[in-house]
Amino acid sequence: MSVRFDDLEVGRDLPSSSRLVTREDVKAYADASGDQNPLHQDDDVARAAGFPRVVAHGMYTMGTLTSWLVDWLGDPAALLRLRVHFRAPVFVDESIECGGKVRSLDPQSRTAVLEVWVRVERDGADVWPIRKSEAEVRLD
Amino acid sequence: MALSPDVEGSTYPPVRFEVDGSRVRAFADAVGQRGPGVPPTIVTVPEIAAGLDHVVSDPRLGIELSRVLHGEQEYRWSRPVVVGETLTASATIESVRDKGEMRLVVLGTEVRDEAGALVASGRSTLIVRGDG
Repeated sequence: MSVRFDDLEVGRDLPSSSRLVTREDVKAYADASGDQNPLHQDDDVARAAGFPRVVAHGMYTMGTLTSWLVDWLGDPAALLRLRVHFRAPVFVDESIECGGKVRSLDPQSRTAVLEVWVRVERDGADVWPIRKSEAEVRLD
Repeated sequence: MALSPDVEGSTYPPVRFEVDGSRVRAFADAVGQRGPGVPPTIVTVPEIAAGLDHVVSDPRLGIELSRVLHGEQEYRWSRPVVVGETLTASATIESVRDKGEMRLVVLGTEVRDEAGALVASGRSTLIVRGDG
């Protein structure tokens, strides 16, 4: 089932979704994407860079956010544009939550601009690896 | 960090990418896409090969991969990517700016199909951490 333009309302939250970031997924992303930066595979390299353990690729997190969007839209063709700011690292073994809300609607082109984000709960506080980022989608 | 003045605006050689089914499935599993269709961020694959891989071996820039962080990323898609096609990506260094101890490198990448039509364009801001 895919979402339709007439279902959208400015200001409404989209149904959020969470995913555990495993070491295996991050390694699988390195192999599938070709980004073999050791920061994303080797705890010692990550610690030398000042992180507690292996950091997920920014593009792993953006890719996961995109999957959440596309699975909600029901069709990759509906996604026209996506722009994200990476504001904090994501570490393996953390759970990331993807969410967003409708910022504006254009009935003539049947396009919507969405505000999208990725949140992690870390040490009892909310951390935002991606925030104030934007997607443009076109719907039937 | 001294910089040769001709870096901005320079373009790296294009890179070809075959969108094969097994690679797409592995990518979709890694990013958790459950529904049908090629994950839109598959264009990251040729983008990295056309851009980042050249940047970290460019003697004019002298950038070490382990010092590179991703600051921003934008994609615009003209159409969805399909399995079986061959894409060609080419990257241009749009700007290089020093900001304190950091260097910001903005790369623009165009991903085209066999007919030369634009499939997607990307813009990456790379943050290179300094020695301090």
